[in-house]
Amino acid sequence: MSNEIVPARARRWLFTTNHKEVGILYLVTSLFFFVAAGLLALTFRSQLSVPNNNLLSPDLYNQFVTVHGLLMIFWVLSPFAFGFANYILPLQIGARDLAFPRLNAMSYWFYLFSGVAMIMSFFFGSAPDLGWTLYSPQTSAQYTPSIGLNIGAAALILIVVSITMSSVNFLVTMFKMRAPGMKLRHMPVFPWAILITIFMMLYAFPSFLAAVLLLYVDRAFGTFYFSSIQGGALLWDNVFWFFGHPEVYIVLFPALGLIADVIPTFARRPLYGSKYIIGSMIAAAIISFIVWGHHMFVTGIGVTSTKLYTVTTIAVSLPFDVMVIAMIETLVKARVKLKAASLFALGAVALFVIGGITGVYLASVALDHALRGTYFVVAHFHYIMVGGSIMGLIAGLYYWFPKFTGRMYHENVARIHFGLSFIGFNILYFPQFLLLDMPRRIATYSASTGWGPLNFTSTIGGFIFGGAQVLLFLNLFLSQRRGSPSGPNPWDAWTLEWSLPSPPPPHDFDTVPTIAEDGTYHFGNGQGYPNGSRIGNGYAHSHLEGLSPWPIVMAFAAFIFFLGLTIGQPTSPTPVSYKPFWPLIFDGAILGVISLYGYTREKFSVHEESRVESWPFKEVPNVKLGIWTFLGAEVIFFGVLIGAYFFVRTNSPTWPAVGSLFTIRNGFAMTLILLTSSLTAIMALVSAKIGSRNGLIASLLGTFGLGVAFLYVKAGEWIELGSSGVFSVANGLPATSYFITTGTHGVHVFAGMAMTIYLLANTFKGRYLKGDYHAIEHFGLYWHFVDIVWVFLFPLFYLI
Amino acid sequence: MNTTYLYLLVFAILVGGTDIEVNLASVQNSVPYGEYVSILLGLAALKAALIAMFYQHLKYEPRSLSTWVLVGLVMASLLMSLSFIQLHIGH
Repeated sequence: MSNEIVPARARRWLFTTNHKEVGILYLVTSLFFFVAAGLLALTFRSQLSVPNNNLLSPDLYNQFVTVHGLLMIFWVLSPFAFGFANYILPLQIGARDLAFPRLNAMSYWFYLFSGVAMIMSFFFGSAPDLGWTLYSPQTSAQYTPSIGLNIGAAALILIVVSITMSSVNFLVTMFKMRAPGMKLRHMPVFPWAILITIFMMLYAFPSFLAAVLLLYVDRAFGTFYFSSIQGGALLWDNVFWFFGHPEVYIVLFPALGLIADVIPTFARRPLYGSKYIIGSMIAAAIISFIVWGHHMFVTGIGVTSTKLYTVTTIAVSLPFDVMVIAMIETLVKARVKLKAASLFALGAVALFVIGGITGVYLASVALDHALRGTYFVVAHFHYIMVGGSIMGLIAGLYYWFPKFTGRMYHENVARIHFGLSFIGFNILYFPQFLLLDMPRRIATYSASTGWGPLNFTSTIGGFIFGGAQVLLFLNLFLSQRRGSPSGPNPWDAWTLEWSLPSPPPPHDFDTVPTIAEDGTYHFGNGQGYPNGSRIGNGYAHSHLEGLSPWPIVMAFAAFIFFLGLTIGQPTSPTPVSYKPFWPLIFDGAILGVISLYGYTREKFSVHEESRVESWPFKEVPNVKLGIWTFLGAEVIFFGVLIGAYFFVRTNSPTWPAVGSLFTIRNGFAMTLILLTSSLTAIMALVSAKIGSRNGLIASLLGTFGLGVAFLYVKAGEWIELGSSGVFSVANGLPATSYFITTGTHGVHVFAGMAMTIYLLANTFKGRYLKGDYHAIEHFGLYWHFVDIVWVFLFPLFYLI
Repeated sequence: MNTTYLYLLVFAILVGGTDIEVNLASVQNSVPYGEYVSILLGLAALKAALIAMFYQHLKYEPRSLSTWVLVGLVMASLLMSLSFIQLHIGH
């Protein structure tokens, strides 16, 4: 379809699945959102520059602050880093692409459309206006009736889907596609940082997805998770910050990893204690999941909890000390080449130290009570996220720009860019440490507070910092056209990507490198490819292949489906509920089905190298590892849903007795149906392996039929409970938790049934027999997981 | 043992376990609530482990993969446990 409709140049960028091009798309898009978020920041900084200012209305001010925060955290920091990861990481580990190239392209398009949705929210009454933490109960439809927050929630759901796809893809790539001889210990620090970041993403983002889903159903269907006393603010705080604190490290680690690659290059000596840096990152990542309560010191959580979180929060600072000391040690007695990349890297470390130290103050319960919600906290996390992360990522931009383009940037302009950025940053944020009695998120203040001069100074700094970025864009834009040729390795760096021409050819490596025991690489022993042969994700030396239209179509389908769910106007004021916009939902669903069909029917081969380093998953095929990784994320997702149920239930003084609402008989019947479906699913695998086509068809039909039976009984129960009038989705927490948890599980059953139809269609064509059984096995992994979830839901809702 | 028989045996144990759960509900008033809940969740965990080990073949997969899956369970348990501590301990 694509050849006739879309011009070749556009087709290349719209349909690409090549990791380098997807990386460039990520980088350019994240920089676009960086500019958008920055302009919002400059506007509300202008509002705060003088007392009693009325440049922005309080309402608009709140929207600008909120969308600025959301854009920077979700659409700039991580995607900026993953632009580098897309482009550079496969080169650094000696892979020709990511494990699932089309999935990678889809991640990008989900990311782009989610960002578009977030910005669109401005045009539907009001963008989200509650701060990026979306604290409950302000987010309830009662207090924030605008549909802008619904669209914002849809945007967040879409980007979490994007991130989950990316996480699975990168993880499989790093574990399964390293060049021969490249042990994990041989990987540079940047891939290590990405690997550790992905672990955190995998376990943190499903929690956020569940949180946003519950927020959305509260708003759309009038449920009570976050608007009840039993759930409310404390439930949101838990599920949000379980994600939120690791998220700080998720946006920081790629920059730290990148800096750890840049500093040794310009110091002309090996990184001091690289093992300790990696070990520290792992330690910090683990501890990051048990510190979230320090964001809740003022919420009245128990003394035991505050003690626990104080200790863990102080503990998590220690690994960062090790990282910083190792980087400083690398510089001792070194003749550092002060280029823009190294200047930004060093500047980032310096600013991160300030941000880190001020964070330790907040581990103290007493100080946290005084400083929470003030500009001290704003300054602290901007020193981490902008000082450490953004400055580090800009170092990466200068460092790898010659690799991306084959040209050098203008060094002197880049140094001026650094100078203005560093000075502007400190003028912008350091005064905010001194504004430790000024509450954040206030639209203006009176002159009598005395906050005017510091705010004015801060705003000046903001304009210097923001203006400096114009130099960055001009420099890079002009240099990619007119810069002097860089050659393959202008920095005399040691990592593998610098062994390739700049920019690297579409297929990356002519011969797969082999890594020696000492970590050096060689190309002589690798497996070669003759010119013009089909390699990588369908690229050949002489012409472009490997394009797929379906990732963008599928992402667009999801985009309009979610828009349809969220742009409907409120139908009633109390309780507020929203009428979906059905035409868009139908369009999205139909387009989704078409694109799924096209995606599965498309002939798209992914080349797998015969010789790879794949410890510790040597015997596990790529797709299976990807599915297990995805199921790991699902465990967290359902864990949060079940956790939310536990939370509201144990926090409720009363709960309906066993058997008073749900018929145990129904639950028992549904359990038996699903258990039987697991048996038919495993028998499908047995039949496939022995080559029994009839057995396979019968088993799959059985699984499908049992899925139908399960949903039939479930639907009957829903209708019965709903028609009783006392048990609707908006009728108290027992109903809320029951309908949402079992409904989400039901959607998973439905998805599994859709898979069986696909498998059946192919089985009728003679597929999946004997050695071709893997798709049946992979389906089974998912289906059994759905069964396992029900094994827990049955006693929780019907028997306890 | 023939794999089909093994899968049927696992199925029988799963159904039997479910039957025990349902029958426990009929005597719940004679069992302390905490123990009742613990037994039911324990049975659920046992059934889940059987499905994962035999139907999802984790028993036969490399240890790295089963460890990988366990990490997810630990993380989910962590969230639930610490949230529970916040609510109910140390006030």
